[in-house]
Amino acid sequence: MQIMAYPPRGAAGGLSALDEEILTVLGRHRGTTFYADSNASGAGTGLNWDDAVTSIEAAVNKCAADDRILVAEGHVETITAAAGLAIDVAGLTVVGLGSGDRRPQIDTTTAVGADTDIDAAGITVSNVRWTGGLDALTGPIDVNAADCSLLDCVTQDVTGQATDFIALDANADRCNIMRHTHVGATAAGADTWLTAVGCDRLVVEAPTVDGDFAVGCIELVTTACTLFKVYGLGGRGAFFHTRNSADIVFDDVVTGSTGDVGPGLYMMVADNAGGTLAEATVAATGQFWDPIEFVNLAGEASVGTDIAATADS
Amino acid sequence: MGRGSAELRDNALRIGHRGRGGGVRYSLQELERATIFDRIQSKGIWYVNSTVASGRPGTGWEDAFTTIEEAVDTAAAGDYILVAPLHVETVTAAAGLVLDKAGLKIYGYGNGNRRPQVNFTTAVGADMDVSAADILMYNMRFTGGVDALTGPIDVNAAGFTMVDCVTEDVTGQATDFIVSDANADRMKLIRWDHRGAAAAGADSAIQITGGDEIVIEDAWIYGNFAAAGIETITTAQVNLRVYGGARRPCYIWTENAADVAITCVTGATGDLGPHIYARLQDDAANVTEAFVGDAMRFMQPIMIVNADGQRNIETNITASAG
Repeated sequence: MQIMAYPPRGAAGGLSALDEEILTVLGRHRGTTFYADSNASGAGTGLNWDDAVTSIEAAVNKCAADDRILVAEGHVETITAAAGLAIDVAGLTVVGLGSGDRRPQIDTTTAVGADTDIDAAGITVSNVRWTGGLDALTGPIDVNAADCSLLDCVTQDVTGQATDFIALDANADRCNIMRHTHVGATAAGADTWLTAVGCDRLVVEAPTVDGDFAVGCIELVTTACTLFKVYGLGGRGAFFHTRNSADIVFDDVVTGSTGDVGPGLYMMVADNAGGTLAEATVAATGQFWDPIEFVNLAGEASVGTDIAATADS
Repeated sequence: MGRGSAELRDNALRIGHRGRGGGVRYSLQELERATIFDRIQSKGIWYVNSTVASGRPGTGWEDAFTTIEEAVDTAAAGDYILVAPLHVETVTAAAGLVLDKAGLKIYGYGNGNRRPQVNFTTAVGADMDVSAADILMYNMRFTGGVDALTGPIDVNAAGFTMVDCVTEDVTGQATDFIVSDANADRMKLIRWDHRGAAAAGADSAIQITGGDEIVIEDAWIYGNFAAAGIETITTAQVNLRVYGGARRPCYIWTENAADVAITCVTGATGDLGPHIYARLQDDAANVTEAFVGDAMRFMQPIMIVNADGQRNIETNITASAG
């Protein structure tokens, strides 16, 4: 688990005494904190809000391993080329401030290959909103290192549709994506929200994903992923809505990936048709944990997946 | 601790209060309570980092001790030990690391495998002894660097709490990675992630002997367990509780043909479940036998899958009659 964004716990979602203590002690982190604000006009040292640097990229360039970057609410950063933002300092934690669309925004535009590269181990990005400002982006968030986390972040199509919004390669072992919101376009054009190639121990916890996905909301492709987990239990469910007639939410395209689908998945698929339930989650060598619930027509109550159940024999 | 309320407030704001898109994370009351909590602490803080020069006093990150053992030796009861990212500590003998100051709180910094690592190697009996009461460990990674370790984490005192820690087989398999004896009352393992080897050789991820009010919450346990992922032996536990769902499911996956997720010694009392999801190795008649405890209570959902690509069924242990 991560050192930032430690979740509130306890029966009412409040803090236990242990939670409070952990939060307090984590404040003694050894690194330096840098500040980024696109609206700043100070000296640009990045050492306080008044002298904040004006881009996350500039802040990253000042950081050593395990430092932190706080990003102001209302911050806007535009990425126009591949690796336009390279978060490449190990152990870095980037925390956005602000609620809703006042969160820091990273807008990816101009070139379809423009992206944010997460290229060093142990990077955490929390509470940042990525927008697709150009049609057919080919992975505006590109994770190429181990132990990275996206916590409470948003991805959103603004112009057209990203083909795959988040791309993980085989180096992205133990990637955690938690409480993520994806607001995809309702029109066709996307393949996936998240595509993963050969990474181990991927964890996707309680996302809310909406879009028109020709392949699926999540695909595992090319090289098998081992010991993945996609679930929604605890805090909130995992909600998926695909508007594409492919009617697929989770697809181990490569076949041979191992891991857990569910519990706590709630899905809306496009077509009110027979045979859409079992096919909506595909993992031939994974296992499925109830509740995995589907609706395929607005106004209806969900039914559980009809994937074949284990037999005690 | 010398921490002002301003620091606490700043920390809380930075980490959560403003830094969330889904609404306000903490209430004013919670922040106020945290501030009061902060002010009643006046303990020492010691720093540990294996990458700095040795011979320092341990009083700051730049002057850190190079081992947790050194910090423990210096600390008083109730002190805090903060451990840097990428710290590595090698334990080569029995009691190679001894936590023997009551109430110590040991915090690791760093994400994923950048967490502080304690590596057990050289001797199968190499271990970390928890031998004083109410010790807390947070965000540490324990690795087995030699085959057939016989309990590299050895809990012999009450009130041990482990939060967000990883145990991992790197070379071969630990026979039992965590062992606790009858003194380990009120042990709590919260969001423990056991990354066992796929190959045979382990008996369990944790072997518990006796102990009252032990809690294992939201654990992820993977390995090839000849006995079970969680095994209790010899002396019955009182009010053992193993469950998921506090924040995430409890997943247990055994690759061993024994097909047992949790086994409790005869007479052990407590609750297994809810929200335990167990993957077994064999596509066979093994669902009832995956959870064992003649005096335990089984709280649904306790789900089981025993073949690839299948959906779970609930345990079919005999249900209470209405």
